[in-house]
Amino acid sequence: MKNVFLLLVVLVVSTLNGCKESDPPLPDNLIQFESAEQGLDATTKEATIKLKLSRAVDAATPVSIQVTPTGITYGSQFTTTPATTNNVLSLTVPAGSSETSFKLTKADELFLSGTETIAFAIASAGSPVMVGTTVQLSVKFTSIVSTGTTLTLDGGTGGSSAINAVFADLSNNAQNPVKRAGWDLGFYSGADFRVILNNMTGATAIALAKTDLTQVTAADTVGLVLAANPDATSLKLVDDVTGDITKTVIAAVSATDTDNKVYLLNRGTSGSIPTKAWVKIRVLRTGTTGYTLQYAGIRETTFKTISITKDNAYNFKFASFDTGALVEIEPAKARWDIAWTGALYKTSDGVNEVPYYFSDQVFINFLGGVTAAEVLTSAVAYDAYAESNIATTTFKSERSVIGANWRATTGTIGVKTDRFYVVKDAAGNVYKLKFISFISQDGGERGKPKFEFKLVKKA
Amino acid sequence: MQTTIGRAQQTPGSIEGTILLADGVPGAFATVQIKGIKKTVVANENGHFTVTNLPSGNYELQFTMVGYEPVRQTIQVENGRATPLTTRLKVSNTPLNEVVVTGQYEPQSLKKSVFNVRVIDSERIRLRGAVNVMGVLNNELGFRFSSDLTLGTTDVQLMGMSGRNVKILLDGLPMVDRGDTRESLNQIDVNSIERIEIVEGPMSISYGSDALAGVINIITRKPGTEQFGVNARIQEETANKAYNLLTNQGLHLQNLGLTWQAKRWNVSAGATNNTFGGWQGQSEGRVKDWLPKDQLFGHGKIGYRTTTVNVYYRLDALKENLLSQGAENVNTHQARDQKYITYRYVHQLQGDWKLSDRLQLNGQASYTDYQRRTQTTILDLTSGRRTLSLGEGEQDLSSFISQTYRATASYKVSSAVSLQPGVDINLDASSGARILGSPTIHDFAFFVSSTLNPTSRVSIRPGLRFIKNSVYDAPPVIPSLNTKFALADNLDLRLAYARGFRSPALRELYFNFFDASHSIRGNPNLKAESSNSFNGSLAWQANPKFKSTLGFFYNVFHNLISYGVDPSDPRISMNINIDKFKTTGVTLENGFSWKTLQATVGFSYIGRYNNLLTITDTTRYIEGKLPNFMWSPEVNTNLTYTLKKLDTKLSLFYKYSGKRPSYLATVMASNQVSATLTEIAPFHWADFTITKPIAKYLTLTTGVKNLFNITRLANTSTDTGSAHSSSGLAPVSYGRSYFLGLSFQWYKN
Repeated sequence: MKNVFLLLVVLVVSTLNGCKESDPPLPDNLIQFESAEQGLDATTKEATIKLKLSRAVDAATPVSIQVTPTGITYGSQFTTTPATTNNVLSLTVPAGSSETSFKLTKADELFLSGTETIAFAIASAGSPVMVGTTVQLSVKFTSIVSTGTTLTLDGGTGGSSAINAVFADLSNNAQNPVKRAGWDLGFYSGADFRVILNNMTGATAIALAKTDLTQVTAADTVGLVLAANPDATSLKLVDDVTGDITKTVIAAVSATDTDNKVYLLNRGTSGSIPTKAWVKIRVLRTGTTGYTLQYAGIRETTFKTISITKDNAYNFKFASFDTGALVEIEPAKARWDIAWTGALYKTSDGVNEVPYYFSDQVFINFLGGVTAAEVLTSAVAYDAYAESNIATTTFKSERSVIGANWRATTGTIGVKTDRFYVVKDAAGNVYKLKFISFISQDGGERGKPKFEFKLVKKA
Repeated sequence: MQTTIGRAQQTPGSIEGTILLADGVPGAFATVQIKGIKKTVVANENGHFTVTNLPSGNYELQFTMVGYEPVRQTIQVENGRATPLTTRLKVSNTPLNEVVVTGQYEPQSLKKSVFNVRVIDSERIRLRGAVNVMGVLNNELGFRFSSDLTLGTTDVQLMGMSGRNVKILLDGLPMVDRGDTRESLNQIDVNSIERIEIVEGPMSISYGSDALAGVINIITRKPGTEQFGVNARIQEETANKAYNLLTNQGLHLQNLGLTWQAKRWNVSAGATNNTFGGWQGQSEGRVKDWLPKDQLFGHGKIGYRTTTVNVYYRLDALKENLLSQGAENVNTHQARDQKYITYRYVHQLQGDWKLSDRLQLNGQASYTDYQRRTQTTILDLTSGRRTLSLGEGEQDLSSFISQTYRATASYKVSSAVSLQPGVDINLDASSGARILGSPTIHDFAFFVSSTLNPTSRVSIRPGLRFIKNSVYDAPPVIPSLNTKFALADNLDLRLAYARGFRSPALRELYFNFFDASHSIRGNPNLKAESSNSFNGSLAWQANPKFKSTLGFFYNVFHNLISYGVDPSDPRISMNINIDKFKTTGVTLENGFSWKTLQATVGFSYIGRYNNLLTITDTTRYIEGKLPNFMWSPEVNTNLTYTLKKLDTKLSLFYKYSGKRPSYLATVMASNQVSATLTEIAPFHWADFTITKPIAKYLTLTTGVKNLFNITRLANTSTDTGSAHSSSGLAPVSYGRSYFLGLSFQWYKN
């Protein structure tokens, strides 16, 4: 009897276990350059060149790169860090990391014709890492105008709440990731004296009637709601979501110091940014050349200052309370065309417009002169779009021309394949750009959006 | 019949008989038919009957009573004498009367139960050609099903309350669900079901948490008298117009079961494969509205029984695969697929021990091992290569271990008083990526009820349950009072008050889920939901062929757990005890038979509390005071007509579900709030089946399900854009389908 019973149990369990299928394999872990071509213009002395993996490696993995210079000599005219041995660069991807890099440095006072190149080619990678498609990088010693490539933006960790914002320069195949929460205030370098809040963390601010930071205490915060909540009143606490520089929460900084009020600032928690203490701030002009930022914690009786000098090469200069200093966020305005980031935008609660944090927004550098247009494939296909189509394309100088319109997070989740974008950079180069993937539903990875772009017309 | 003409002048004889039922009570109003002379008498309320004026000879008598198997008995009558006779009737499985176990301490006739128990028997299940439990219950009064096409799950609603307040039992032991959707109802092998018992209203005294709206108790097949038996069934069904022989499109069911018994041992085992190829519906490309689902069931059982002891161990195993195919990304020719793989092992040990006529012990234990895995893969449609995806939370395993131990005793103090104490221990543990930590909940309960019969016509059953829970503050004591009054021999009135409760589930306490479109945090400080319920029914057995039951209920629920806003961060949702809710309604159920037609006709009118009033707030609506209840009618019928000559049964199963109203609050431009009435459209559901034995051991069942071809119900609500299919068009089914099934039954006694 017991045997019959045992047999039954064994039968039932083994039948079910027998149906367990083995799992599909993990995708290949590929190593490759970020792009196939990179320019190093006369003013740039060194560049950090990254090799990206599909995902982090479990153990330290060696990679060797063949270096082939043309018209330029290793050692006397350029060097790499680490140094090469027999024209081979030996790099290691540390355990737990998904990238490695090396530095390329030009010798001082080097005169180049602009035709010199260095070819870097991945010769081998330690198992199980395999070599991807962008095996070779050609570095030219001039600024380049890319004919197009595919870029996978590095949003860092966080997925839908990716910690990075990424600035991309199409003509140079370059991307520049920075921490969304790496800055607190941006100081306009244009003619006006304007200060922006960090839209990428959902920072909010409110003016007090006082003009002396030392007079502001915790009592001034009583009853104040200072957060980018999705309600109509919160819209007044954030900068204009279209980026209109004349509609900032902080009023234009006056030449008359006594007109410059104290603001309370919530540094923002949108997109999984940890909560930080409120800060009180006041901004003054420094003559005609810049700003003086005064800031302190709410309860502090003294304050610190940071001096900011306008720099016409940039849209904004950025300051961080964490470092108490200026920080590099936006590249120079000629060095980026589009920025991908999570940031506040607006939505409707049915009646009113309310601020709302959207991930995956793509802003164009409208302050730097970039314009763009959305083109539906029903009008013209991506592949068919050519120089002749430019005339009938209406380019807009709005920050959110692309916005979050390029992807869907409900319904058929994934990049929208019924549209693409045309971006005209400040120099006049026109690129067509389509998004390839951004989320696992479309075969991509959240926080690592992938797009392809092609030169339609060179300036 | 042999009568002798020569003796015709003598005083004829007579029969004085008594009819008893299986449990010894009188077989009141049983019918006695004397074969050959076409004479029929009816027993009185004490089960006595007399047949007079019978010439001597042998007579064959047939005793019939609704709910009992007919008995034939031959008796010799002599002239001038009254021949005594006693017979016992055995319970049968005809639909008008049943023996029930839910909420009882021992199997009890439906008529004697203090609960109004609805029974769906194996015959109904067989005639419906059902492939899952939903296919059996979908035309029952008070039942509604809502499907989430994104997750491929279906939840039950009973008497206006959602599945989280309905307790699903397998042979009296709770089925585990990972969330508040009662997926488990469709994770039971329909082929191993003997019958389904449904009790409306709280059963918290006996069954503890969740049993607020009611209990659905699935009773598996028990051994009969056969020594060896083989059951097999195969069924092929279309999914709307999609069908492919034996695999892929359509529904395909294969089942095999074996039973064997010798001496006091009985053993059974079975396996069922249930494959559904999904249905594309309005989706395009690779995507399907209804997800393909494969279910593989296995069960094994071993039992030992004597006249005083009955013990068995049973294992039910399930493997379920749900496949959600994603759309192809035309940029990369890649698509993301998700597979939800469920393993469920339910071990049961049950035992009854009859110590004496006055004392009976019952023990039950179950151990459920439930795992649900999410496997996400990326398929490269160009190369055909499939790889695991790397996204956060896309390879997930959540597991639940649940143990239930229950012991009850039934002690007859006197003929008027009996006492039933019991203990109930539930131990739950869970883990998974979205579960905070590896929480456990221990729940200990002691319950006692007493059945008082001050007269033979009155039954009063008060009950109490005392609870100690390791996590939350359980209500200290839960009372209930059930009464039954036999107003007349054929008229039973039942009135009950009960308090119900539902413990916060592991998921509500510890479920954390953060991604782009979800910000949900568990709340370990939840209190239990509770309810006050009043219900009653009046059952009238007009004659053996007609029974009618009128019922009403009124339930008030407090502290219902619902999603609200985290007070510390308004952007995060968390479960909080906010809602109050009420349900009320009346039902009328009638069962009758006429010649070879068997029929039930039912009506219900159920009111659900206005959804805008569930949260206590001070919103003033332009429309002024809103109605408390929103009503929805239902009508159902089950008709079975037997064509005797053809030995064929024709059955129609029908239900009309009335429109389901609700309110939608809209903020107007004037900042005033308007309450707009929205409705889910009404619909008719009908199945028509034909059942015919085609060979000695073989029965053919064929028919059409969903005759009215219902797929989605219009919803006038403007609220759309939700990722889950809870708004917009409400999905019901994949439309009209045709099926053909063969079942094989062979027994050796």
